[in-house]
Amino acid sequence: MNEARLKLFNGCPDLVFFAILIFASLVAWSIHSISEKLPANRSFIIKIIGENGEHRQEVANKRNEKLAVSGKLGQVTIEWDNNGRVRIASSSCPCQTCVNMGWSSYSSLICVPGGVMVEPQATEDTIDAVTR
Amino acid sequence: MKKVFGYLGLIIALAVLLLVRQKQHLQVSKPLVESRMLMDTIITIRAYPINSYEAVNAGFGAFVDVEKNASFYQSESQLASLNRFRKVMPDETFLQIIEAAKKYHRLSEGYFDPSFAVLQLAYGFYGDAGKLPAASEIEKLLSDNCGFDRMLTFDDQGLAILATGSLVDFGGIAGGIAIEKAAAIMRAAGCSAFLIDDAGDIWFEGKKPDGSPWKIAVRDPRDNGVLAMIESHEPLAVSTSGDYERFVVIDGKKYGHIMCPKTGRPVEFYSSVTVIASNPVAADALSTAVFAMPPDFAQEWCKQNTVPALFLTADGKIMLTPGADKYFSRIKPQ
Repeated sequence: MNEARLKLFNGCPDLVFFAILIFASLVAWSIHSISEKLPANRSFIIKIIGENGEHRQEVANKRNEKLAVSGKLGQVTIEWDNNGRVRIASSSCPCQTCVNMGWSSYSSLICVPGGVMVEPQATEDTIDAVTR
Repeated sequence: MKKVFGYLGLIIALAVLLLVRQKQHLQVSKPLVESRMLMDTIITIRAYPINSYEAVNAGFGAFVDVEKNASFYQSESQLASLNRFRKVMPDETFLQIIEAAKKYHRLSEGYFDPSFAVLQLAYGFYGDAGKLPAASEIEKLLSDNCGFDRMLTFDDQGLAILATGSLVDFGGIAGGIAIEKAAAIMRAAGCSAFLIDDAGDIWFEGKKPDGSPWKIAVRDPRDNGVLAMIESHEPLAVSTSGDYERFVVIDGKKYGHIMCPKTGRPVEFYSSVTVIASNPVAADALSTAVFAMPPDFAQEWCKQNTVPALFLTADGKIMLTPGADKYFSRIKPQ
């Protein structure tokens, strides 16, 4: 039986080759599909608008971290939680509307008086917008 | 051996073709996303194709135009002049805002009312700290200084005249007007598909290149998760009003900024109300109006006016108006 199989393969190298090709394609396809389903790395653009125009800073993959930036009215602290959500933890602005916006995964955050904006960068698997 | 090299060559050629096609697909399916600080908030536009920068830039111009007219805070705006000098000759955009505000004030039976700014002022919404006005002050303001149709009139020359003691804030409708203008500009500029997001007041139209629907999440204010989804291939306007972003705290209690036309006090029926409409002006004005309505009245009013809405009540119940389940999906279990 084994000899018969070997003969078959010896006689048809194309068949072996195509079998390897199909197997390799399946493996590559599986890897591609799995990688598409993995959570995307979230990056954020932080825009600081001051008297000298707009300054942009890109940050990526933050977890359990805080970042202090200098806005028009003083320090604005941006915080990331364990799941990569972001919020404005504190601001020197009088209204505190930005702090009240709470945690956000998808929608932008802004401190208007402080001139600070935190904008999650879109990925292909994210939603298009959040109504709030 | 030659055959093996032949196959290898074929595989490499196919791989190159696949990579090129994938790159082209990414270029075509990726939107241009641009956010700017305008009208005291963040405006975001997502547009296809990715080279729509000029159309997007022109779209933002509509927000600049509306802000110049309707900003409550910018001292040189037409609204600021009206509030300060009690009269102003409205230019085209400002007249459009006033007329739209009057239309939705009447349609909503007075629940949408830009003249409630005087009540918001009494509660400290325009200052640094909240304050609780006396009952007699609220009653007097409600009877003497509120009622948009009564407070804002036109003389024979078309001059807009604001009654003494009254105050107007177009924050509940100006965003919708700006979105509508921006959409018209972008459409005319040849932008094939786009979404305009004015801090949660949303308009989208056109087909995305990958054929997927536009996906909008309704924020759950209790945990900042997703309360429901709206997925549509057809153009829609979506707007949400809530008590969780703009409020004052007085003696440890939160007071939202949307006032009841019957009592003159902040309404406490809901945490959020999301409304769907066929145009962004209606969605913007009606989400505020419906938020101010008591639940039974709101259900009946929405049914009569065919306004699909999703309510999250103050005690955590989720309610839909008749037919709204066609628009809202994946609603969070109660």
